[in-house]
Amino acid sequence: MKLLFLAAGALAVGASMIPAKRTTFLLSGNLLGSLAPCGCSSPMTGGIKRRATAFKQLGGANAIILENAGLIKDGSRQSILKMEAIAEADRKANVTAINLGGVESSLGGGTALSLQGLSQRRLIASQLASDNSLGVSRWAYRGDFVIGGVSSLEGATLAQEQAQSMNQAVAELVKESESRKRFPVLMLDGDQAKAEALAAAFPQLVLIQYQSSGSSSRSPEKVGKTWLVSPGSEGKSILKLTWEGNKFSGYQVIELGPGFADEPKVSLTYKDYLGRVQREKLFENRVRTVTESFSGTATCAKCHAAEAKVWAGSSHSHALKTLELVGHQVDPDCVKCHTVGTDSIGGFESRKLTPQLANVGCESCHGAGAAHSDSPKKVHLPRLGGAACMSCHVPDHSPGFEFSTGWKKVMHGQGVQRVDK
Amino acid sequence: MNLLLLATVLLQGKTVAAPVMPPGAHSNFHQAILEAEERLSKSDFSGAASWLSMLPGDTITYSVDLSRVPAGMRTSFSTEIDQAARAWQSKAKVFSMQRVSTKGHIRIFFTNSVSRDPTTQNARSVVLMPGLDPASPYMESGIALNWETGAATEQDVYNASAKVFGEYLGMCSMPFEIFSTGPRQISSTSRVIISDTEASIVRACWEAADKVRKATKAKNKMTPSRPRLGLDTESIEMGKLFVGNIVPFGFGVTNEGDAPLKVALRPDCGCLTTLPRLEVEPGRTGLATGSMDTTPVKGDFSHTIMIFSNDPERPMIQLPIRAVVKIPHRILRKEENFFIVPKSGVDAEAVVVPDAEYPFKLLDGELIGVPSKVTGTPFEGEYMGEVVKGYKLKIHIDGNLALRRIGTQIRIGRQSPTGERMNPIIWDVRVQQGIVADPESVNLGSLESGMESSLFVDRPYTKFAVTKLEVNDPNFTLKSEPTKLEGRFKITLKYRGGSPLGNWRGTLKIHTDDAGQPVVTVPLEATFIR
Repeated sequence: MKLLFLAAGALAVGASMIPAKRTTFLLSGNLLGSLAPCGCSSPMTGGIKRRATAFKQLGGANAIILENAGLIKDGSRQSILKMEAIAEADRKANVTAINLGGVESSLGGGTALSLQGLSQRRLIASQLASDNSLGVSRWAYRGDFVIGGVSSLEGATLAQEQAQSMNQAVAELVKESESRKRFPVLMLDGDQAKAEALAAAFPQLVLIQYQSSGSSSRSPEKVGKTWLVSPGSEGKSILKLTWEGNKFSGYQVIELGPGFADEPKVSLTYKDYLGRVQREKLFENRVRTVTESFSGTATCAKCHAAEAKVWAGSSHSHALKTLELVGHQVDPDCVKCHTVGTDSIGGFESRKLTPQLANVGCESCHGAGAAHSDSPKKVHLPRLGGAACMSCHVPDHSPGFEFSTGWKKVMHGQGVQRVDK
Repeated sequence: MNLLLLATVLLQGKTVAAPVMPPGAHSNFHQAILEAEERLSKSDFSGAASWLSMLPGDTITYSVDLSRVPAGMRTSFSTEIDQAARAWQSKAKVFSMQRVSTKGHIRIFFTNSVSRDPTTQNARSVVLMPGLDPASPYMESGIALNWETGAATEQDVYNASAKVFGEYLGMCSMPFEIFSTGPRQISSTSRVIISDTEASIVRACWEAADKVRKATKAKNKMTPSRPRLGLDTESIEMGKLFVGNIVPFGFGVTNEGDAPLKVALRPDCGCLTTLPRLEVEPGRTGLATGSMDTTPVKGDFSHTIMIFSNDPERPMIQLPIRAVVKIPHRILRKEENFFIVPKSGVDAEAVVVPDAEYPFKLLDGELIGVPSKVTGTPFEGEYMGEVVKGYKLKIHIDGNLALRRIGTQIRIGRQSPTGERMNPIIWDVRVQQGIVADPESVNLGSLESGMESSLFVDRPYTKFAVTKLEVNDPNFTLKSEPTKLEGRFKITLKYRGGSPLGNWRGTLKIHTDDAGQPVVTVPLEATFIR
């Protein structure tokens, strides 16, 4: 028998001719507030800085670049700041249109106005009245296409400006396209099932970009002649399609890995965003509802000296410093995994006010320990398994993390050998 | 007769157990072990030795052919390859890596054919793994680099070499972190770090080869054995789920072979938790369990669980896990999520509509940090143009608040029809008293001449007028206009150019005819770029 080691890569793709009437589509969206790959460990994917570079490298002057909704997770102040950064980044990256979806609308009309200014009128919302006071267009015109954007979220919070249901708006988009002899393209703030229903109801649509969680599908779904595609979530990849000869082809998923450099202008926008998060003290002002009492690692160390020694030699002991080095020490998204108890009224607030709770400490994993330190024989904290690590060492922030490897770095307490095996 | 020879004679003919390979071992490496075991079972010791000669021993040699590399890059490329070899040596700690001029176990050469990434059209490195024959026991690996455009970096050479060595040492390439999420360019901004897990896989492979080698040398028999991975499903279909729950799942892992099956699991989403590893004896079925936290998920969910095993035919497979995650309720409100409060307080309302498949009973509510009362009562009827069944929320907010924006949440408790407490509904809202600017501060971003931005100034319950606008930079044109909504004005700032370039912080003063609040001050920030 002959042993074969397989080829691990494919070889070159040759250059092809560029015919006339060819349009490149680049599709993104559903960022869920992930402006930058969290810097815990490499290799990270995604981020608006790399994405802008990808748009430039892959697009060209006539590319249609679409930013679908789902750009933020909630209606918090931090989400408003993130949305403003995305709007400005989209202008700098020459995005064609941004679908103002349900979550974005929940930020209110004033924020929509601000986003219009920052994006230089790139927002579209096909369900709004055409004379809405936000100045948001119902659709965008580019090349052979009319681009619309709708949300399947009922009870959208721009109700004061809303005129139409989702299906009514799509019907008008199709009508508008036909009257102008162009092709209708739809960005949908909704899932695959809703996209399939719309494709069946409106076969004139040539493309529906919908939302999905996780990675993008490896191939497009087709309902009749309509292509249904999703770039996945959190901006880890974008999609590239080519329109040629009145049909789409060349579906490609482009992962935004470290091979794409940060785009300098969008990097400035991101830096400004971090500055605003700091100036507005978003971390200090966050809503805390849990009441817990923490002791701090120094208190734990008085009785658990051996464990404290292990901790002192681990990355956990200077976890906040790693954020400070990259300017993320005031970002609520990041601080919660680099300190102790940020959801709690008695948890970490700042190095100055609660220095004992800075960094990842004993109570980050074992829970609030004041009751235990007051009555160590009566109140016991739980022993933990790998699940305790996984709330922070998630693949998005800590790709490649494996409990058995990570545990060796912080191994402490009795029975550790058994846990490791 | 010396002792070693005596021991060899005494042990000859003994049957020893086959080694158990680790999950994540390269299938070809494992296959070579099996081939050697097969021959040992038939006392074909020279045949076994032939197969073993391909596998790593105490000293692993490699040769490097730099003839196609431009002269100016040879030294650094050579250094990178040596460093990658040393990295494996120091991490695995069971063998030494030695560079030789010719006929190494591994031969690395550079090809001048240029490979381009089909999606980005960027040049990239490609590692080729040509055939390996027992008659010619060394491996050739060509690294294609596009040095003409400067796209290839020293890190690329290091990473590609580390991958070549890793595969020779028994790594199936996937656990290698840089390749862990699927097809990826070898090109990277940093040198790959060999993890403890990867080192332990290589060490276990080396120890397996060493065990078979010792058996061959001692002329012992060995019964070939191998695990076979069987899954009771090709995908995990979670069906329709609702946001905010932890949902368990599990799947059966059967060992259809005759050696212990070792499995390591790694999900690709932070919302998924699984058992880290599982060991299944031959003929038995184990249960791989996990759970999905639907809190951060919405809509179509499509992720994978990577399953690494020591089945030589299936060292790494991806098990898809799919769901459709729905929001279990809607909040209908005729106005925005911004409560503008008069001094006397305000009463507002909204309707919470549970999904028909996710019924709950509404409990108490709380507007965090604001003097208020939130109550819910069952509601059935028409609201905002549709007939709904749910709960009407009555929200009373006391007056006399500070004249500043409060970004907060309404938390509404709920319980299941069987009386179990459920996660509260969290509704992000903003609260402010008096005439308010929305947004509260205006980020104008990078400003060029001719660009404009707008904001609303709002007080819906008592009429007021905007009498004058001021900004502390003379290069803005300001405009106020009423909107179709009562008590709401749209203020537009248009930049005419001419301000010093760079960052700027300013203030917009909106003068009103309200004696109690004659000026609304709005912070502005911008970067003048043209």
